[in-house]
Amino acid sequence: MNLLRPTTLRWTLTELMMATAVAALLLTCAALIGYQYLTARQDLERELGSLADMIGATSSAAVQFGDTDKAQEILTKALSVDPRLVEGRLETAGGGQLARWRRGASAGGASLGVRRAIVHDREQLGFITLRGDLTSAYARWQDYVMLVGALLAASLWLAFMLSYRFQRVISSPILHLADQSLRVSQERDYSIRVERRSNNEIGILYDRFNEMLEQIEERDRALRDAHDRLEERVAARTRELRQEVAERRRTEAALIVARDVAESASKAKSAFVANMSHELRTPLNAIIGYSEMLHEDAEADGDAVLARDLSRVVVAGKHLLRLISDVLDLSKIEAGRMVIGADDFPVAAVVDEVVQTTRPLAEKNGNQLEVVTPADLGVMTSDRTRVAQILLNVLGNAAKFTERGRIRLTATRRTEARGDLLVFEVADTGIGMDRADLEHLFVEFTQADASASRKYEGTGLGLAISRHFCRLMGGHISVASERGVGSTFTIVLPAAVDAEAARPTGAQHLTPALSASGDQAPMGAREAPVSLAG
Amino acid sequence: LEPLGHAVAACATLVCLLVLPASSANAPDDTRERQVKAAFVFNVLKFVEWPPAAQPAASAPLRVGVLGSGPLAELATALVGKTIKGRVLSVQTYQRVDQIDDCQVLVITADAAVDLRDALRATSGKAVLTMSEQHQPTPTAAIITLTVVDTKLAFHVNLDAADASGLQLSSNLLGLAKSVQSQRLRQGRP
Repeated sequence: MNLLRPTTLRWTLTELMMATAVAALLLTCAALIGYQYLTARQDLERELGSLADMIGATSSAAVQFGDTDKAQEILTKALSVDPRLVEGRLETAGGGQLARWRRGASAGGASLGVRRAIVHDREQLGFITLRGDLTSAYARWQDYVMLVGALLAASLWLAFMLSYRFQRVISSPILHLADQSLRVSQERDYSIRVERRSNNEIGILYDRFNEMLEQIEERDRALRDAHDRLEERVAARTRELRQEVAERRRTEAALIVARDVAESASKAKSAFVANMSHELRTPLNAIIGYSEMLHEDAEADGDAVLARDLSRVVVAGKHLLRLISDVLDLSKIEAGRMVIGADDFPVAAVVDEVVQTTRPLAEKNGNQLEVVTPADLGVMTSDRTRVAQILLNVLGNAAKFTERGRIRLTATRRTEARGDLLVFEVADTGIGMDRADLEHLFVEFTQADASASRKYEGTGLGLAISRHFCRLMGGHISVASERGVGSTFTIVLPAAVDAEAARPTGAQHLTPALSASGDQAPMGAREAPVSLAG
Repeated sequence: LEPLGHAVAACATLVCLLVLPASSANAPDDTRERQVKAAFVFNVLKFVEWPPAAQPAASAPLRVGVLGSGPLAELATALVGKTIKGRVLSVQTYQRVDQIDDCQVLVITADAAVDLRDALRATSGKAVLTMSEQHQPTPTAAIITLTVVDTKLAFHVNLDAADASGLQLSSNLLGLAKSVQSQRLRQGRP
């Protein structure tokens, strides 16, 4: 069997059954043979014993009387009949030999001896010793062994035949199941079912197998359905997305168009405003000029009424001119056409000029104007006109919003690592502002109090423009104020404006596209196009 | 086993011819002869069964009576102190027949000055084992008659007499006897 090296279930089962049969048969045969061996010895021993007892009984008198002839006769007659008996001896109680018999043709093989006492009336008269030949018993035992061996071989052959036949009861349903499962896995056919043939565990296994296939089939179907549905959903979603994308593209295109339209419109508006402001100033200058001439003529003629009226025309014209200038500046800034010049000029001169201009207004409101400047403020390299404009604006505001108070202008020069700074501080004891008002202070077209515009006049553009100029020159303007106490404006400007730094950068809020240069009249020796800051 | 059993059975029935070896090779050696004869008497007693009625109490001695003189008369010295079936032997000597009293064994020596028939008559009807050195033709012989054949001690058995006195003699003993006189055996065997 080992030579066959069985690896199949069929052979394993056969082997197992054969192993059981072999073990059982071998054990049985060994037990039988062993029992037979022992029985053969015991039988001979018992026969020898009973024969010895019989001889002892019949020879008791002969032994007692020491009749050797009679003893020999009994012994010989009793022993010569059975060929298995080899030797016999009669002894007296004292140990002397009374008779002895020995078979002539003794092979001298294995033998078994028995020694019994000869007793008569509870008196031990002597001994009898018999020796039997085991050879024949052994021979018979060997025959028996041969027979058992033959039976064993036959039984094993029969067992093999039966077990090979019987193993099919177990193996064939399992092999059938294995075949079917192989088919399932190879053909991916989950509709295959095995037919239950037995009612035992293998039958249950069949049922489970079928159930499993059913579940797989069902899951397969569900999976396919889900797959189909998913494809539908993906297709639908793709359509939706495509529509959305198309819609967005359309929107985007519309937006771009709108943006372009808006941009060009804005540019056109700025250009129009700039041009219009310029066009407006020309006739206005003529009006003011002629009005002043007429005013002088009226004064010379002594016509007081006409002079007063003409004076009003002149004032109104100048106001209108300033308004137009402011709007022009603002529109330039918005259009990105404001250019900051860089001229060398003494700071003190500008301060003096501004103070001289503002003093009449300040004194008209009963204010004291105080100017605090160090001996040498040095020279500024900047746009003189714009610096003066900023200072005029702030100082003018202070004079305008303060009555019978004090106004103080302080100018200092500060040296820092990046370069010298000029700090102008304008403090008044005027009406002041709330914190909420401060937020709108630098925004275009705004005055702290809407109702104040009539009272105080002004365009509301001054501070906004001032802030733009400060930034363009690389400085800044700030305010601290309290209602009813007064305001303090602080203007910080670099002593030397950096033409490069004044150039508009990405930090500006408007896009570079809007800072396009136009047909703008040159404003200074060195020009730098700037854009609106904030 | 079967043939062996048959052999034993056959052997047991064939016990008849028996020669008793006596060590007394020389006739003048009386002492030796007396010892052998005493041993013989003692051995014979072992193979004799007395009827239960004739037996005295278990503790009582087995009485052996010796009538006459001669070698057998010396039994006293040989048998004293020995026991048969747990009973001690006692020896009684008689000179005349009328002296015979209650005994289980009566030995009549060769030179007893009495007629054997008288002695046997005195014990007839009693369970007494009679042993004699004197020959007497059957059927009136003693139960056991001793004789010497070729310097060997042998004996004859009068089984009829034993039957008459109710004694049972072992077949082993009969097998050793020179001759057995018995109506019963002769009738039983063709």
